[in-house]
Amino acid sequence: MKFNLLGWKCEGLRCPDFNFELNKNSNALATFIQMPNGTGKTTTLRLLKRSLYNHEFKSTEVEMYKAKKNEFKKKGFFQAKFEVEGKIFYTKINFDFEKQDYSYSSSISDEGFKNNFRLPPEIENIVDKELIDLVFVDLEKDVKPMFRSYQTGAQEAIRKFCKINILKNVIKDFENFKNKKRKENIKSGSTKNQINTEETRENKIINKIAEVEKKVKEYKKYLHETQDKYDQGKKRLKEIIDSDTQLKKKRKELEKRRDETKSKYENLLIKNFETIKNIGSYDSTLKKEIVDFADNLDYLGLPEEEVTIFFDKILKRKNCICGEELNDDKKKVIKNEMKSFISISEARIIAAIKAAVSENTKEKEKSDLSENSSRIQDYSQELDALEQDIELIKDRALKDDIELSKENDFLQKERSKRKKYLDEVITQPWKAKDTEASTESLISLKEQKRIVEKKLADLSGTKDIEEKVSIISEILETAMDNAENEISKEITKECNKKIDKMFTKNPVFITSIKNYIVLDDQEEGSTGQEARIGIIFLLTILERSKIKFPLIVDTPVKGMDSAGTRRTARFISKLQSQFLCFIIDKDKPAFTDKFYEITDGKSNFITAFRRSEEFDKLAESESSNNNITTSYNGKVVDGYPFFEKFTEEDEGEDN
Amino acid sequence: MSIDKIVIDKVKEKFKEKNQSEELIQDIINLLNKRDSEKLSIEKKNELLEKILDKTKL
Repeated sequence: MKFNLLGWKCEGLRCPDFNFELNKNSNALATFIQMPNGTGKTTTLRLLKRSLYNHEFKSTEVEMYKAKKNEFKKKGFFQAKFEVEGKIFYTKINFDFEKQDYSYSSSISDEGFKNNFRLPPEIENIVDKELIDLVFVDLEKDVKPMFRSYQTGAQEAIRKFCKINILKNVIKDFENFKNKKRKENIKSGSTKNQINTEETRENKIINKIAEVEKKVKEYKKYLHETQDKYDQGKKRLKEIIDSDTQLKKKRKELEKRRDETKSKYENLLIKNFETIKNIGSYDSTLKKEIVDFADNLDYLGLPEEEVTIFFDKILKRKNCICGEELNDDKKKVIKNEMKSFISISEARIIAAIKAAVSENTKEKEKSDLSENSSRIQDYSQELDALEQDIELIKDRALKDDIELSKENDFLQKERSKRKKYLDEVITQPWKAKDTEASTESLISLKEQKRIVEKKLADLSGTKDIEEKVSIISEILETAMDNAENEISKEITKECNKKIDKMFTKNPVFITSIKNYIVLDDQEEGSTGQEARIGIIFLLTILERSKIKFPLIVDTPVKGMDSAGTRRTARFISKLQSQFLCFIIDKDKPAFTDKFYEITDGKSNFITAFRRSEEFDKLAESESSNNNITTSYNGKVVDGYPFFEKFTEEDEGEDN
Repeated sequence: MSIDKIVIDKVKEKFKEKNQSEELIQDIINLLNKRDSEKLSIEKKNELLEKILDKTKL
């Protein structure tokens, strides 16, 4: 299935009024849009994304798209034109800047625009925000979640494009079917009440799972959003601390001493623990109780030999120890009971207990717990003192950057709290005493749900269906995991082949893709490396996918050297999906000129700019070779000669 | 059909491992493809699911 972007039109927004037509050159392999900084690349990319899913614009966001003072209009719009399987459709976002409101309208057939958001049936099940965020990307920002632990950007991309998610949907279908059957089978009377009770509990568990999953998402988002700030702060603080050589030397010494003390302290703790495990080292009530227990085994006359003597003595007596006369019948009973009183195997166990107690009580002389305890205290105090000294040195070094230091400490605490939640809290195993109120472990909550569902199946008489659904779900889940692993391995291999060709110096290879992209021997790559690997990953996954989505990229070659840029151009030229990218004039050398050369000019080279005397003159001088669309404040020039010639006036901030 | 080949192969393999019939496997694959390519009505979906459950061996 082929899905393409054909163009877009905008009016009354903060970017100039533009009209882009991408299908003028039907053989185009790719589209390069050159827009100077501040012309609206980011705005355009964002609105293109919003054109493909029903986005809820807050009033503050509507305000963001408003044109600046002298160009202000009460209303504005952004209209995008797409094509799926040869059929054209439009989506339009209408802005009312006076009311700070918006509305969608769309046209998916010849009937014209209707006042709602709609997508053609061919893609309405496939296209959603997550997918669009993957293929309409700002390489500097949007690829980061693919490389961060606690993020699952890469895994989600694989699931989406390879359609692994379909299996998840089918599992959900079976779950719904099972619930439907259960409802149909509900009987009246006490069973119905029991079912109601269990269903209420099931709903509570489901709500708790949703609540935890929401929290997990928020925590992952927080970790992602604070990662760069935290890393930069940490790096800066280290630089500040290291800049004072005297303090640096002293700190290093203290750190060395601290590490040595810590090692001694930990070793002694381990040694002490081993000693404590020997019961003989207990110089306490517990030891007395254990020794008494062993003595009592003797006192009771156990094991067998002593038992025999004890009972023999009783049998020889005239009266029993309770005072009653021992007649022949009673003696017979005692003889029988004596045999069953203790067996040889039990005697062996008891003998072993006695031997262990005896052996371990002898250990006392060898280990002195009080001495160990006192040494542990000493090491602990020394360690605390050294930590304090290191902190003092840090404080001295950071005396002029207290705010940064405090901020980073705060971030570290907040991030640790969230990491702990993701690593430990939600992965706790299920315990029989768990309830949905007492745990936030997803593993436990899912198990609780399974148990309630089983009860419900029993109560409603749908056990057979329940078991079958369980079998199918289990098989599909295993297939899903296995497929994901195998596809990840293949994509990793394919990406590494491309990296090998594309990186000229110091190639960074991918070790694995599980949740996120793990790079060889390093926690994460530089922004440039991640951008390059990110584009390789997206190109690879798009090549593999059977749906030909457009890949729309902002800043595709930022941070790349000329060789990497040339190789990127070569990769893009081989891509079967539509490729569109936004660039600034600095990105042209070794990229667009190379692309023009290797594809014999078979692409769209478009330049869009806010009108100025200088740019207008430049466009007029090249008008014979280019197609120009003009509005009162913007121009779109289609053609390579102008594209090549165009140079930005100066560097400003992009919006 | 746009589901990755590996996904389909793994589904076939895992159902076979659990001794489920070829007929059931085919029905599952058909359901996956239908689920992917068209918007199934609830009735149609339930009909397909019921058929699959009838063929599932416990």
